[in-house]
Amino acid sequence: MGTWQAHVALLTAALIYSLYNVLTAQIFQHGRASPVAFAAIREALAIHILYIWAAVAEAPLRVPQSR
Amino acid sequence: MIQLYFTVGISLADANTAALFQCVKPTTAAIVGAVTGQEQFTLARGGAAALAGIGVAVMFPYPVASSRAGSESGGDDSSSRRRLVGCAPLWCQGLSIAAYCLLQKKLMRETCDRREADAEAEAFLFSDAEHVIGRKTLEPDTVNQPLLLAAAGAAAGDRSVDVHAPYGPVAVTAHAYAAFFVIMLTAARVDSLGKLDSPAPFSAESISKLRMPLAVSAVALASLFASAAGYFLRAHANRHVDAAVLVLYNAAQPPIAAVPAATRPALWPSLLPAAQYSWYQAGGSLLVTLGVGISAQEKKLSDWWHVR
Repeated sequence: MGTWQAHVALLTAALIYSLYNVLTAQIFQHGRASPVAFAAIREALAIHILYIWAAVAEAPLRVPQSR
Repeated sequence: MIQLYFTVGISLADANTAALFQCVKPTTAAIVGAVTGQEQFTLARGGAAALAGIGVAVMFPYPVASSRAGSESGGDDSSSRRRLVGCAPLWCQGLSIAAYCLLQKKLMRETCDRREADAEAEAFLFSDAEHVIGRKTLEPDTVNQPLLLAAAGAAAGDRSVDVHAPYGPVAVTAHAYAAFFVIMLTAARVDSLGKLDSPAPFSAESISKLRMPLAVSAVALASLFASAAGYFLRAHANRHVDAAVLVLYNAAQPPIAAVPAATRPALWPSLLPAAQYSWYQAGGSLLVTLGVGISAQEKKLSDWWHVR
């Protein structure tokens, strides 16, 4: 992956977050859902996706250590 | 912590003040990287960050106008003080984002650098071993056996086993999310105990609102795209570009978000809010695009500048 691919990745991420912000703003305003509960559930799901992804794509999974 | 700073900041100040702080994030990241000695502060980088910041400020002219109007009319002293206090966590949020990006880069790159250093050390040992082996044929008594063994072992060792394997971008994101989750649960607990929100985050009423089809699909999409894919892409890019460039792309979000909001009737009439795409937004978007473009061509521009 070169520098220009990194810029494409960042632009894609910016696109994802922009759409996400527009949609969630509507859910919080109209649906009156709790942002804290939404974020906690979102992160609980994301942790599972990310750890499975890391275990498959980046095996062996490196766990943070103090040294 | 980043989310916590933002939440506290926006509750003490207001959304307009929070929007203004988005403008200084790119320059904050560039300065933090330079001050900590982890990144270079080039003219092109500083210019790109400034352009992106000005672009975001142009897109949101209201905060400046409203705060000026507030100060001219005398305003309420307590609310001004409250807004001033709220600026501290908002500024800390920018610092935290910069620090997180720098730390993430260090985790993914330092180990890469160390691996390169190990490869160099291995090559050095290998050449040393050849030298020792050469001496062995001539002067058997002077052979440094431990060094020879170490050199031979290092040279012939299994290269697939890397004790300094770097953190992958997905693993770094997963670990960060585990920490985010703990902080979010703590925030939810504090929220419930302090009765800051009604209903409480994990009350039956609150959960029932999240069971609605739209909310369920939003959570699923957010987990998959915003949390997993979005953060992975940023972490992956952090291996190849500096943290200052990474944060610069935060400034690209308002221009991108303005497009679906403005094209709401054609795109998704029932969900997206009606918004007008003003000249301010067009001008601001142009400045942000210019800033991002400069950061993408930073090396070429620096080379061109030095050649001139």
